[in-house]
Amino acid sequence: MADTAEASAAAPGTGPPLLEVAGVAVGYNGPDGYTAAVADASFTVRAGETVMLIGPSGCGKSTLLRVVAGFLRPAAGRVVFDGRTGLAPGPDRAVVFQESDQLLPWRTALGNVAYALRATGTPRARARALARDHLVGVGLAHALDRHPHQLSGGMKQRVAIARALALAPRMLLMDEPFGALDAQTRGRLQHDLAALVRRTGTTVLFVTHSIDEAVLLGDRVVVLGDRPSRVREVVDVAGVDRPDAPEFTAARRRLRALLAEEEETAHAPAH
Amino acid sequence: MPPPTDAPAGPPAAPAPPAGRRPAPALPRSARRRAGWGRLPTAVRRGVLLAALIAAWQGYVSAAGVSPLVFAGPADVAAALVAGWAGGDLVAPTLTTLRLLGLGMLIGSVLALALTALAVGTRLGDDLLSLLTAMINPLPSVAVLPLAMLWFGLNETALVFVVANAVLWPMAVSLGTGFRTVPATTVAVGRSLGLRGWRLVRDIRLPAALPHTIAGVRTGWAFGWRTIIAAELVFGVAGARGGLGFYINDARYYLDIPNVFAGLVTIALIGIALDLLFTAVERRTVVRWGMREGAAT
Ligand SMILES: Nc1ncnc2c1ncn2[C@@H]1O[C@H](COP(=O)(O)OP(=O)(O)OP(=O)(O)O)[C@@H](O)[C@H]1O
Ligand SMILES: [Mg+2]
Repeated sequence: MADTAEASAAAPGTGPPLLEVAGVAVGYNGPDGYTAAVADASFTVRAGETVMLIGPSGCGKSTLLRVVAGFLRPAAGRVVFDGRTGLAPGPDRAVVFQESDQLLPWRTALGNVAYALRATGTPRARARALARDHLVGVGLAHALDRHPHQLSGGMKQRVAIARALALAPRMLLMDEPFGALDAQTRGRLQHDLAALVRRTGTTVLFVTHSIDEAVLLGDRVVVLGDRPSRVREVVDVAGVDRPDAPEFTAARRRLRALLAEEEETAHAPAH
Repeated sequence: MPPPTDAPAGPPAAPAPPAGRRPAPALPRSARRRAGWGRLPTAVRRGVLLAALIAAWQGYVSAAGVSPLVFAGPADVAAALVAGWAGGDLVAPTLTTLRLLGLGMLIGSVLALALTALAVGTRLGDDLLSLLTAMINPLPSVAVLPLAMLWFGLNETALVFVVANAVLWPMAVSLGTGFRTVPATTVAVGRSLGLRGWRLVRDIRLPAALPHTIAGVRTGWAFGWRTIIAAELVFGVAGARGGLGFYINDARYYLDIPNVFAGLVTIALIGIALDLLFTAVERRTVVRWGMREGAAT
């Protein structure tokens, strides 16, 4: 996957916008009619950039990701990816879902990754070799032939990450991919993801609950408010990638303040 | 499991040790249950039980002196079974029954698949299938035999029709449940790989629905098997060759009781064999993949 054209791109985030989300409102049709999840979201993701989505639980982060992935149509506003609107799901935007049942239970870990590659046109032998490499890359060399029900939650999540990375997508959509992992594994995978993004110039839209993860991995952080949510602010955290840098502490304080403010307005008595 | 320090939750197997003295570490409950009879392998336990039952059967026949015109002992039955299978008297009826059953199941399965596709694809088909299964499923499937005989005459087609009808409805219900309960995330994964149409069905929906599909074939076969035997008993001979049901009825007519029993044993053995086959298929697929808990057999 190191042979992506964007590999030679200049500093991340200076390219043209790859994804544009403009005035998007989206919700779900239920038995009681339409319920809004996101009221008004606008942000852009430039090619090679890593943009983080953060906000309180239930504010519509996964919903926004589903819109970009092409599973949901926005009720208002528009989403432009690579010049196209009216998106259908496709492997150019590989998704790591939040749900733990995202692996095909009838295929092994290796089979899951290899199948994704074959389904998108890679010849069988090459698909298996690539799949193996990517699983070794997430530390699963010992579990290639296990079925998903024989893997722990974190291991399943790592298979899903390997599957998405193996597809070498234009854009990676990740929904709290490291949420179920222990601190060490999470740290290692964060580091590996950052390195991979730097090497291949892959564009990433990443949902997280963790302020630290947002600051460390992101170039910019989109802070969402309570449901039905709006974008409260987009915080620039490019270049802050070491926890001991003074900018790190500042960015973290800024994000914490934004999210705490959100908490306060949400729990203030209504008048 | 560590040896319990508190009193175990279940009823104690042995009186509690006197207080003050350190109790010997109690066996974990599972190990305690496995002592004695329970420690023997399943096959041995079943073999011993079977032998005991047959001995009791033989003992009853010898001691009570029942008339051989209404009851046969295991030795006579075994002799009839061997003679029937070696001489071919049992082979032809068995093959006839299995052939009719297979044909009926094939037709029933294809219809079930078509109905399910319709039901999953369209709202109208869904309503139609729900209504039809609600109406026809409670009806014992042999009950349509008189109608089938009226429509198709006294021939094998009538039997195949009855079996197909018996298989169709429970199978359509299982298949429908299977397709409807495929997890949304699983389908989303397929779609995000760009799969659509037939490929999405073949690579994602069909394997995801496999547990219910196998369960459906299993129920379908069980319904079909009971139905064809019952139908043959009522129906008698179809053309020149009769099936197992006819064989039993025929033997009864000639008061050949060992052969009645031999027919029954054959039916039971085929049932057991097919059930083992389905269990093996499930073990190798859905159980191995953690899509269904392994059923103990
Ligand atoms: N399939 C659905 N049908 C109806 N409502 C839904 C559906 N999925 C999500 N919602 C609602 O939409 C809102 C946003 O959900 P979403 O999953 O996007 O939240 P989130 O920000 O990802 O939360 P979390 O951080 O807990 O994952 C929630 O209030 C949820 O109840
Ligand atoms: Mg979510």
